[in-house]
Amino acid sequence: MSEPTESPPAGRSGQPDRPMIALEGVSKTYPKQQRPAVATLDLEVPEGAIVMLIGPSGCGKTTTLKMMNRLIEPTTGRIVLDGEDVTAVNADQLRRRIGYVIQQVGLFPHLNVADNVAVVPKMLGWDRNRITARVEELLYLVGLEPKDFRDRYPRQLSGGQQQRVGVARGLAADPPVMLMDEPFGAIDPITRDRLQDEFLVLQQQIAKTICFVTHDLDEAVKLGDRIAVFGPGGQLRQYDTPDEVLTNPADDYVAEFVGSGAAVRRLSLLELSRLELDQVAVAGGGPGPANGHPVLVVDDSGRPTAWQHLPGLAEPPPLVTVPLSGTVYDAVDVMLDGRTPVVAVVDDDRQPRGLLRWDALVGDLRTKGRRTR
Amino acid sequence: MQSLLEFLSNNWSEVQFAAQAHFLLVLYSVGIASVISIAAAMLLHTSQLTPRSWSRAVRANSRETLLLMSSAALTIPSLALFGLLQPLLGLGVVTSIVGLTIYGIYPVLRNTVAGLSAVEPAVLEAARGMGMGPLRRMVRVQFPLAWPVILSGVRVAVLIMISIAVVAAIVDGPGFGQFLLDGLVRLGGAGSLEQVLTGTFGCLVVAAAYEVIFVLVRRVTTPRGIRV
Amino acid sequence: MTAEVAPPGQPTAATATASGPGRLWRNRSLIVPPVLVLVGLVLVALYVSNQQLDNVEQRILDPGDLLDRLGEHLLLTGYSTLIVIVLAVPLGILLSRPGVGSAQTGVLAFGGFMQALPPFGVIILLAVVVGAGRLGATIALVIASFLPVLTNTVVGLRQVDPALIEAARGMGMSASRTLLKVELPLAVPVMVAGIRVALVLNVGTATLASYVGAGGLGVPIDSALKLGRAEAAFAVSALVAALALMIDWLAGLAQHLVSGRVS
Repeated sequence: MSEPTESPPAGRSGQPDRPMIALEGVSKTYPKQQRPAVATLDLEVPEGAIVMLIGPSGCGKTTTLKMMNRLIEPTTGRIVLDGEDVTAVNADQLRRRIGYVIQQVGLFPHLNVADNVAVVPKMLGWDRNRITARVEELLYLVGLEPKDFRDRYPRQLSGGQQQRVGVARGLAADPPVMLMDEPFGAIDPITRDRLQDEFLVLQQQIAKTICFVTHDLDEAVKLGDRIAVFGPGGQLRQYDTPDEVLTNPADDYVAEFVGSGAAVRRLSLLELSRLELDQVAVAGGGPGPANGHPVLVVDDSGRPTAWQHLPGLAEPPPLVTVPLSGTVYDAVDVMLDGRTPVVAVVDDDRQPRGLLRWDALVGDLRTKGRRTR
Repeated sequence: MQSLLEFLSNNWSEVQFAAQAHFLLVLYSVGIASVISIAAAMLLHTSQLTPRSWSRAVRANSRETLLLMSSAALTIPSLALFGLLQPLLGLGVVTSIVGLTIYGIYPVLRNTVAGLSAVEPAVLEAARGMGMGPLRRMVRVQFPLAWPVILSGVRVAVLIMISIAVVAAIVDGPGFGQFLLDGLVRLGGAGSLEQVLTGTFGCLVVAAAYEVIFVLVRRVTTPRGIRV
Repeated sequence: MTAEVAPPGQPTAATATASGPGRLWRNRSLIVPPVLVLVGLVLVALYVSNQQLDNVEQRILDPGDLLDRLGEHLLLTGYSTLIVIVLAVPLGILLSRPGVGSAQTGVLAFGGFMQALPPFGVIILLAVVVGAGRLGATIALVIASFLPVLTNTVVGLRQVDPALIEAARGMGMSASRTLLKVELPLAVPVMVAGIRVALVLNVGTATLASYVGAGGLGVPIDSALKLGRAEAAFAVSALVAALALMIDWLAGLAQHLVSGRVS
């Protein structure tokens, strides 16, 4: 059994944390098996949070996920959905209240996209107009132009498009909880990356409670608000924020699991907007050689075009920039690519907002206040 | 050729009647055979419609057993089968239909089982995870996806039945078989060749009619998403 | 003419070798049919012996006579099946050669439709043309069962992995040697399945051949029906059914043995 190593943060709505879905004392042992597939665990998923279930194959993460909508019935314990004990209710009806997205998508080949998405609302008896409106809204939300896609058939879609429809289908009846089982696993890396980014944007808009199974640590760190690390024998080893899991692994197993690269991964958790960046001055503005600050040459719109002067360096290095909305990881990537020890941070209008130095990474990075994630 | 055309025009009403009778005989028989086979296959594939105690293995074995039994029926020569039925059911239409139905079960059953089994597991898992019960899954997802295969099984059954239906004439069944028997009786005599040709190729005409129907039915009933 | 419907005599691929009962159960499609057939025959025989048979029925069911008919039936079936193999297999080999591609699909599509052609009609047609008797019947049986063997030969050869053929030719094997040593052995299971279908078909059609004077077990059935002796007809029909099932079972055994050796 494991417990979170810090007090649960407040949910997005700001209310004191009531888990949207919770497993209490849940375990799964298959008949005729000696050892449990999932050892007794308590898992609370806060409302509006993305919880990543991660671990090697056979460690029980998918089984745990499937116990949440009782595709696999737990051997012991209770499942509580939004305060209601659903361990013994009618399973089919329960599943209509929970979104379910799987790796192979499983779109119905004989139905077009619109009908696929509409399956659960139809089962719940929504009226036709409401369904049509909802389908349109959802297709738009997942990045598929409704006009173009609603009448297409699954075999006419690419893998990425199919999975978008799969997500839309899961969201169709606006369930409080979504379960996702390696949904991006079968998709090529480039598309997967894009889908992950869009997924985060989507989540900002809809704030669903999501349980997401993955075997990819990068994905877990990128998407998750919390990570649940599973070990052999279906043991839940650690359940914490990504930062905590990477910095303070609960035991040797987790430490080895996050393994080398943990420090580098942590960089992707640090958003540039939260850092106190070094000041930059703009050429032609302000007195003198800018008080010892680095100086940028800008064009008429105020956008940087080159370094004019960097204290401590005889020759100004080539200019590279990174958006303020990015992370330290992005900044490092840009600096490596440009082979320069500094990067200028710019905002959406490409106005300079500050500077990040390479040595600061191994020195100290100062953050502005605590992250509330 | 000349004499054949003459024969046909002279006996047109009988030929027409035989064609209709042959067509309908096959229609009724394939209808009954299909209902039985499809129902049996669906029942054995849907977990909640069989008694609780029947595990998946039992259901699979029942399917296999049924398939074996119905294929055994196909092995039995048509004359023998009709001969076995006639003391119980007498001579005439009923025996013919029952005999043909027995023959038709195997093709439809085999294809229905194959079609239902061929539905991708991911699709069924998604359906289950979305809250579709076993009955709804079968009716809304599995069966529609298996339909093209089932339909081609029905087609095979029809073709087999058209051919066997002529033997039914020996137990006083309707259809083109009667022409064959008439031609047989007058073997070597006047008109016998024309009788036999009419009987034999009349079957092909009925088959052609069914082929047209199948093409239409296939086009109309196959969901666009799975047009092969 | 059943070109495509092959009864599933193949036992399910039993990879694990379980002990006694398990193995028996898994191979049940091999063992059960003859048992059931024997049981059925015994029941029918018992039933018949309990009845009071009149003269007519006694004549129809005379064992000596029945045995003669059985012999005729088997000969007719055997000859025609042999001829079919001799004719259809080479033709099938020819049709499967590269370059004859389009003819292949044509033949297969044609074969599908021709399942509707009644063997009974073919028999009588031939009797009209060639005259009543065994010759016409044999030709008719050959025609009726030609397609299953042809189709299966073509399909069997077509499904041989092209990579194997390429390897063989690459090693320097001539075309005919490749055919003999590589393609045919691999195609044999499918071909044997087709021969089995033809065999069963011929047993059935031979029953009808009695109507054109070729003898066989159809004769007593025909007499019984014409004379209104329903139960005698039943008894002989049971005999014919048993014969067909046994021949099918034997063919299934052969098929099993052949497939086993190839794989």
